[in-house]
Parts: sequence; C-alpha cells; structure tokens
Amino acid sequence: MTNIYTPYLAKIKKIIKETHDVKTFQLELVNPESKKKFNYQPGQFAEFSVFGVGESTFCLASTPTRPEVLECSVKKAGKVTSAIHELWEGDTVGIRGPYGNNFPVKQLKGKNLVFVGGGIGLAPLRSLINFVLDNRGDYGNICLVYGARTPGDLVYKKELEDWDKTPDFATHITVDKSAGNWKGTVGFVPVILGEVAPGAENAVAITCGPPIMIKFVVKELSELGFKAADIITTLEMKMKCGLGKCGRCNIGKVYVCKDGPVF
Amino acid sequence: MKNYLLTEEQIIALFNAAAEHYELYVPVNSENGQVFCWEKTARLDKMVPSNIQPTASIKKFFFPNSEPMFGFKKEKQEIELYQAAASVPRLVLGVHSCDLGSIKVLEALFKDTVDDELFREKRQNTVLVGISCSAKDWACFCSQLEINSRFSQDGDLFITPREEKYILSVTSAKGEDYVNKYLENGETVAGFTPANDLGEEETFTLDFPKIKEVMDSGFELPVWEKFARKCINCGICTFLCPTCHCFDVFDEARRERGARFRCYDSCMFPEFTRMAGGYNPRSAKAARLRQRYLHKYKYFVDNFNLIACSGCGRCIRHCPVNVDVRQNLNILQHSGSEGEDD
Ligand SMILES: Cc1cc2nc3c(=O)[nH]c(=O)nc-3n(C[C@H](O)[C@H](O)[C@H](O)COP(=O)(O)OP(=O)(O)OC[C@H]3O[C@@H](n4cnc5c(N)ncnc54)[C@H](O)[C@@H]3O)c2cc1C
Ligand code: SF4
Ligand code: SF4
Ligand code: FES
Repeated sequence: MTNIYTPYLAKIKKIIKETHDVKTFQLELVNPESKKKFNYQPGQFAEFSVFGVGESTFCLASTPTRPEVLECSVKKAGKVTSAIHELWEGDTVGIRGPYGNNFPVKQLKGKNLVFVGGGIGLAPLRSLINFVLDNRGDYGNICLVYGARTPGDLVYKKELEDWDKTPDFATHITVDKSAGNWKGTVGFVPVILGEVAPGAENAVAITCGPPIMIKFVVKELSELGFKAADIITTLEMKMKCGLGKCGRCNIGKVYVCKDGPVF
Repeated sequence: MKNYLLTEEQIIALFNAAAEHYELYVPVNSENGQVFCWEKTARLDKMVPSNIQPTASIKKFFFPNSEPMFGFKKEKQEIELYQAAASVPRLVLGVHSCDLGSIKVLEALFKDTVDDELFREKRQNTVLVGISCSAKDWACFCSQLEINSRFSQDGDLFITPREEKYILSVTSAKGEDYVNKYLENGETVAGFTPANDLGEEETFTLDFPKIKEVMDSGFELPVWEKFARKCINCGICTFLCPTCHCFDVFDEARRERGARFRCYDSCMFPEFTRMAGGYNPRSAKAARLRQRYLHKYKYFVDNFNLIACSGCGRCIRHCPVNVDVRQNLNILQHSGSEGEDD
C-alpha cells in the first residue's frame, strides 16, 4: 500500500563542498513520473532520507526555473546530516516533498528586493534570488546582506562573486569574525544592514537565518521604515512528517511545515 | 437508523458468522478486572461486556504504537522500496462512546490537506461495534463533552441492552453492509429511543467555550507553571489518550535491509521539539503541558472545530502523580485572562 510517507528515490549527481560543515547535493529523481510530480516554488522544503538512518528537513536551494538541477545544502548538525555528509555521488537517497508554502513570487513583482541572510539561511534565499534573476524584468533592484561567523562559513562563494558583478544587484558580505586574508566587512548582519540602509520605498525584505539574527534584522528593518507586511521571514521548528500530522512543529495553532515556513 | 431486537444468541452468532473474514477483538476481563487492550479471539462465546474500557484506547487499531511505513533494501548504491501489506479486516466489539467519539478527531487530522492512507485504510477495514457503557467511574467526564455514554452513532453498529434482549443499531453504511451480509432472521423494531447519559457524579461543570476563551489570551498565565509542577513527563497521558496523535519517524536497519517506522511520540517529552544544536522552544515542563492542553482545547478547535478530548478519563485515571485535567480546566475557566496572546 503506497502512502504519503514514502519518498521518491533520487540519485546524487554531484556533491559540492561549500564549507568545512556544509555540502550542497545535486539530486536527480530516479523515476521520470516523480520528476513530473515534483513541482516546487522558491521557499519550499523537502524531507531528505538516508535509508537506514532517517529523514531531515531541508529547503530546496535550487530554483524551479532551472529544472535540470535539484539542490539541497546541508549543514552537518546531528545524526542524519552527518550521514548525509558521508554520501557519495551515485548513491541513492529519498526525497519527499515539496512541502510548505513558498515565497510570494507574484506579489513581489515590481518590487525592490532586500535579502538578509545568515549562515546556511542563504539557501532558501538563493532559490528566490536565482528565480528573480531568471525573471529579471519582473522585479526591481536586488540588495543582499549576507553574513556568516567566519569567512570559511560563507556558502555559495562562487555565486556570491557572480551576483556581485550582476547589474542592479548590490551584495554586502560580512563576517562576525575575520580570519585568514579576509579583506571584506566585519560585523553582525543587523548592524551591516543598518549601515547599508536599503530604502524601504517599494521594497520588500526577505530574511532567513538563526532566530536571534532574524529578531534583530526585523528590528533594524522596521527602523529603516519597512512595514511589518513588507518583511518576509522563514521559521524553523523541529520537523518529522512535513505534512501537519506528527504534531511537533506548531507555534500556537500554526504548523510551520504546512502553514509555513514562509511568514 | 435501523434497529434490530436480538437475543444474546443472535448477537453472538452475528459476530461469529464473520469470523472467517474478520479478526475478532473483544475487551476481555482478566483476573483483576483490568484489561490493557482488546484481545483477539477466535470466537465469541458470551455476550460482549459493557463494563470495560480498556486501558489502551481504540486508536491502536488505526494508529498503532509502532507501524512500518515502508521497507527498503540496499544494494551497493541502489535502493529498493517495499510497501506495507494491506491490513486484515477487523471487527472490534464493546467500544464505548468516548472512544467512538474520539475517532473523528483522528480522522480530521489524518485526512487534512493530504490523506494519510495508513490511517484511512485501517479505519475502512474495521467494523466498530459500540456498546452502551455500564461502568462510568470517578475519572469519566464524557457527558461534559456532549458524548452520551449510553448511545453513540460514531461507530458502525451499537448495542443497547433492553430487558433480556439487545437493540442493535445500525449507525453507518459499513455497519449496514455487515448486517445485510451476516444477520439471519433479524427482527427490526420501530421507535427505539436511545437512553440518555446519566451524567457524572463528582466532577466540575466545564464550560468549554469559556475555557477556550481563557486559553485564547492565556498563553502567559502563571497557572501553567502550577499545573506542571508535579508532572514527571512520563508521557502516559498522551500514549493512552484516544485523541493524541503525535508521532516520531525512525529507521530500523540491519545490514542491507530495513524499514521506516512511525511510533507514538509525546509532547510531554523534551526531545519532542529539541532541535539539532540544542535549541528547544518547549524546554520547560510548563510549556509542554500547556502545549498539550492548548492543542486539545484550543488549537484543534481553531483548526478543525473539534475539541480533541472525549472525556474518557484515561489521562486522569492513569497519571502516576494525579494530574487531573478536569481540575486544571476548572481552574482555568475561573481564572482571568490577564496573560498575553501567543
Ligand atoms: C523548513 C526548514 C528548512 C531547513 N533547511 C535547511 C537547509 O537548507 N540546510 C540545513 O543544513 N538545514 C536546514 N534545516 C535544519 C535541518 O532540518 C536540521 O539541521 C536537521 O534536521 C538536523 O538533523 P540531524 O539528524 O542531523 O540532527 P539531530 O539533532 O540528530 O536530529 C534528529 C532529527 O530531528 C529533526 N530535527 C532536528 N533539528 C531540526 C531542525 N532544526 N529543523 C527540523 N528538524 C530537525 C530531524 O528530523 C532530525 O533528523 C531546515 C529546517 C527547517 C525546519
Ligand atoms: S501522565 Fe501525568 S505525570 Fe505523566 S506526563 Fe501526563 S501529566 Fe505528566
Ligand atoms: S485528554 Fe484525557 S480525558 Fe480527554 S480524551 Fe485524552 S485521555 Fe481521555
Ligand atoms: S513536521 Fe509534522 S506536523 Fe509539522
């Protein structure tokens, strides 16, 4: 009997080492039927299985506008993520999803977009950023403020450089603590955001990162004149089912897995 | 609703008639009068007891403590998946109104947004035969949730004693199919009026809309702390509760073969919400007990317009430290709502 908890099988096509504890996995669904069914939007997530170890939740870091790649970036944090880090190209894994709501790509049309990310929190933003770049005419200017603990913790380094060279796309990369030959900005994301001070006029801010960062980013954004309705955040709670059934990811009556993760 | 007037022999024959096609479950009395769960029996040899509420609730039949969701086999870099087999048809006898009433809570949850086949298939494959309860005890409070312990239409068939005989009420299409197939020479009766609940003796009058109102703005009330003080986080209340449905998902594997299971989890356990890295939004005991209460009497009402409690009393009867949800709800309904909203 088939059931909603059975994942699609997927092959790992390519593994990209982003940092000492983050790897990006390029996946390809094995069955062409499941490929057709797996239609996602920026902001959605999936459950990633290592058979025999378990499942974990990751946002889809790729964009549906580039259907040839399906990507998740995984930070080693515990049992399943450690097992994921031990996988090889060619291994078979499981993918369930896509789950959750998504960034309101339609309502964002015509707006200037301010992305604020911390650490691995850049993953869902990257999906939307690349989506926007692939539909460039539909959106206004892009400003990205992205930070990590150290220069070694910055993910998608190659893309960050490419984005920096893209017209109408201002990137501001910062680290909490400098190391090695880092010549860039040093400072916490909310502080740098305050210095960059992107205009709130006709703009929407989208933020993802550790809860404490989000808290101060939201505070900073409202000081910059962003109304609550123009600030989009993503929330994280422990998840198992991803489908609103297992009962653990609620904040009040809202279940982050099915009503979120975008709020 | 069709009602038959049957003798004890006819009732026994009705359920034995299907023994070939169904697994038969009865709440049998063990020596000390306690039964943990319905037990499988080859044949029914006496009337279904009306005075037993098993310790484990009816949910076990549709949502077992632990169940495989699928199996897998690994071979080098390849994986093969196996689906769980379909369930065996079951006939569960002697179910009380509280348990029958609890099923719509699970049904609402499991079919919401996407349908959970594991639950649905087992429910569809089970004929539930209720019986008029003759054993209300000190912990029961079903009548406060508008559940009639003497009669219920939430199952498939329902038995009410009448003098020396029994009324068998047909309360669903599935029950009707069963009766049409297996009942021989049944005499229907017109004008059956189900008995009314007799209410409970010593309990508080709980005003659930009022309780919800207090909860709506009572996230920060100091009483949560008080309620949780003696709780030892054993999780018994959630495991035995017919409407509690939270589960964990895990893999079991030996060499190249394994399976993914789901098993009961409990919002009373700190691990339930503890995230990688250690952050736990419900690290405090009071936050967990509050979650259990708010989920039952507020969030579920907000989301499904149902109270996720049938007043079966299991969580009261079996809590090792006497946490009594009625007492706590009573305190809540009389406390002001000076807390903040969540
Ligand atoms: C919507 C959403 C999107 C996410 N996207 C990403 C991402 O793109 N990249 C990334 O590296 N991480 C992401 N995370 C966090 C990631 O899910 C956890 O780090 C991961 O589940 C930890 O698993 P573990 O088995 O290694 O940890 P353990 O501590 O061993 O956890 C055991 C299990 O608990 C659950 N769990 C534990 N922590 C979390 C958590 N923070 N969130 C959800 N479930 C958890 C998982 O089922 C996990 O397998 C996301 C979380 C959510 C809720
Ligand atoms: S049964 Fe009692 S002690 Fe155990 S978790 Fe529930 S309230 Fe706490
Ligand atoms: S909360 Fe208690 S009384 Fe209500 S259904 Fe659950 S176990 Fe029964
Ligand atoms: S992850 Fe199971 S309910 Fe949200």
